[in-house]
Amino acid sequence: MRYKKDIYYVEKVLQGDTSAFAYLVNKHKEMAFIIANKIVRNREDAEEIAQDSFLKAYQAIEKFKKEAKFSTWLYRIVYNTAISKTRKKKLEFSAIEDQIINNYSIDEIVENVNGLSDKEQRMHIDNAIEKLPEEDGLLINLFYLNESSIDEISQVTGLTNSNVKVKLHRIRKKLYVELQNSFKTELNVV
Amino acid sequence: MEKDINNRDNFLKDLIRKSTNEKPSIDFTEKIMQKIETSIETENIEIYEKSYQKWWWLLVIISTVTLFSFLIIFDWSFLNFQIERPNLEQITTIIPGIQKFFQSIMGLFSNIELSSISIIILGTIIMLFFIDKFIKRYSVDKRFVF
Repeated sequence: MRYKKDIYYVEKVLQGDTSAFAYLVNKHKEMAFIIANKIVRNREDAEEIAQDSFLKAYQAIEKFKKEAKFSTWLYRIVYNTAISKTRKKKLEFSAIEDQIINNYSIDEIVENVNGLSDKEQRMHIDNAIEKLPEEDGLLINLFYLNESSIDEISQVTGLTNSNVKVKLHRIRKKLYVELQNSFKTELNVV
Repeated sequence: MEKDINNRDNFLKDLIRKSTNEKPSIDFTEKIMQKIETSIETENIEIYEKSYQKWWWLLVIISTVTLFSFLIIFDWSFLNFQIERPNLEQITTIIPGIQKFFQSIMGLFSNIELSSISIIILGTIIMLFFIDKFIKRYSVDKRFVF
């Protein structure tokens, strides 16, 4: 389904057309769910948080400043709702040890991955992402899956732009390490 | 070098996209829209929630009993009188034609006698009315349901 720009639906909702909000829900529900799930790591809770967030967004839509992106504003609500649900003040973005993250070969990983079927690729990346801390999983999904800019990620998570850049750089490395470990584990099993 | 980094980034991006199997339930949107509909329906309903304590009612009961006792024990004989009819002549000289109307209305009440018991009942009703107003004004919270 082709969607119009978010602001079109926002305007419609503001004019009293409640059904227009369904388009916004359909458009952003997956990412909202992923963000919530990355933080709470429980499907049922994530769904509840995502729903509550959409309801909050609907009730506060008059406060939405139109110069910002609706998705960023919404994801910030999801992030805050999920954080308050987990009773954390904010996510603790962990440091990654440099001696670990340099111990991998990207070419080797790419070669290994390309030789696998889609199903096997999915299994390895799932293993790797699962081993990342919840906050790293959130950042990587916002960046790669949602294609959020550094600035948008910064607005959602409350981190500074430079912090987001550094984190993403380190998470990428860590993901490669985890991928390599996943291949090694499989080889050892075989 | 930069191209190489971009290629590697695309590799990771494709891989992550393949992995993502996290989807909300099929009826996710319907559930939210239902919640929104419900919130709209309840938005305009005002609910007056009684928050006053039991002792307020105790006060009302004590006040009423005291008033009744006072009204019954007190000698109200000086109030035994009949309502005097107003002089309609003056009114009808100003507005001709209304005399008959007023006379017929007053005729309905010509035999009514205002006794002390009537005054006691009237006084009690008025007092209870004001007590009720007072309690509602100072101890009832007006709350809205969203």
